[in-house]
Amino acid sequence: MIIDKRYFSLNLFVLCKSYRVGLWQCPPFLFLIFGFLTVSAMVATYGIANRYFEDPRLVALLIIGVTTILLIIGFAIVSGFERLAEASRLKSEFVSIVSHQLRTPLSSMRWLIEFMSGSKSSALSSENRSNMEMLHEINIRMLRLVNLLLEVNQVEDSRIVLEKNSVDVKYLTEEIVRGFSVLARSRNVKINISAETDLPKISVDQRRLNMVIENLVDNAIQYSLGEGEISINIERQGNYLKWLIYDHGVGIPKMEQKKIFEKFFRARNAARFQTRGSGLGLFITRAFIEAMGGSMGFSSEEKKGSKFWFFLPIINEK
Amino acid sequence: MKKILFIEDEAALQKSIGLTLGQEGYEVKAALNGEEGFKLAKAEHPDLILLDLILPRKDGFEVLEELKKDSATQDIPVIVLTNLEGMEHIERAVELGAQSYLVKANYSLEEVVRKVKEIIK
Repeated sequence: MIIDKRYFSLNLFVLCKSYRVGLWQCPPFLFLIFGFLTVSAMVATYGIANRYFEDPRLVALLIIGVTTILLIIGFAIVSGFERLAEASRLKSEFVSIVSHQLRTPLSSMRWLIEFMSGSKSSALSSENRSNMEMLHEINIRMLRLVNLLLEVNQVEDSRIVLEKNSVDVKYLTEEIVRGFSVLARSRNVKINISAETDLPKISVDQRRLNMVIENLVDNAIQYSLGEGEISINIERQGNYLKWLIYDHGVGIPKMEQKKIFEKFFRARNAARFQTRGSGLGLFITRAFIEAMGGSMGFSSEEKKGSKFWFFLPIINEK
Repeated sequence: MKKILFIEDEAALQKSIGLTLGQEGYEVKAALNGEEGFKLAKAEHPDLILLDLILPRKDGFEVLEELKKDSATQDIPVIVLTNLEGMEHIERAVELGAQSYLVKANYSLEEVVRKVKEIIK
């Protein structure tokens, strides 16, 4: 068994996957390529030197010289990549450990807050009740961010495991919008939902879809510039369910539109209007939609607003 | 009065869940580690057990296994309440006989209480 495992670690593909880099950036693979290059350089130098020089000692010296230079260059490149790859692996491990350690105290806090503001223990003054609500919102925001970081890690490791739930998308959307009502009111934003009647339930990962819709609604409110109307529309298109959200907010500058799905990317105008935001939301949103067999897109015009939509397949599971 | 045993090492959670379930009319017994949890389960024979997985002295999986092996406790429904959410953990807990598996970070207090009511009825 132990020998098996050792051979396993010689498998370059497995090893490179653990570094989370492509083959051409993977240190063990580069090492192999450089070995091959060095041997071919030795043979080539031998061939060329033999033709032009009579003295075999000179030929040998030349080969040694070329090989040494190649070895040094190779070592420098490979060790550079190795440091980078190791750093990226450590970073994701670090994120995972920190997030897990944060989740426990954060969920304890959440439940304690919920207990304190629960109706049956209402010894709270109305001011403290609203303070409690604020605490709750902050706490939920932190939990969401920690969850998001963990999800990003999973996406990057390509180990998203989807659950299957039968989901009523219209109902889910209404629930989520209700959860945002305090925030929306404080920003003077109105949210309208329109949906076709008799929409079928779809079989998707409810928690992930929840995060997707939350992200899109949250974005629409955050970038609505203090007032405006947001419309959500849900309809059936062939074998797909189309979900669309339209806001009249700050929009995304043309120059930056192709970057918005990148990790940690935030549009310049977005960062100016709204300092809060991790640049992870849309990255994870698209990753989830694609993992669930759907697709997503957007169109946007600066100062006019943005439109985001996604399609999810309607799979009848009886 | 229905009796619930809550095996969890974090005092803040013991308090919030324990008091809330108390208000809902349940008698809540608290155990702060796995060993104590198993002993209490045998002595008190609760109607439901809420079980964390990461516990001092004896982890939640071991407790669950022992509960399901012991004829005195094997019929008590167990809800696992934890922050571990790897597929392997969920599968193992369900295989060992957990009735339900809740990830703490994804549930509100209200939802946990609802789940408890559903199972205990």
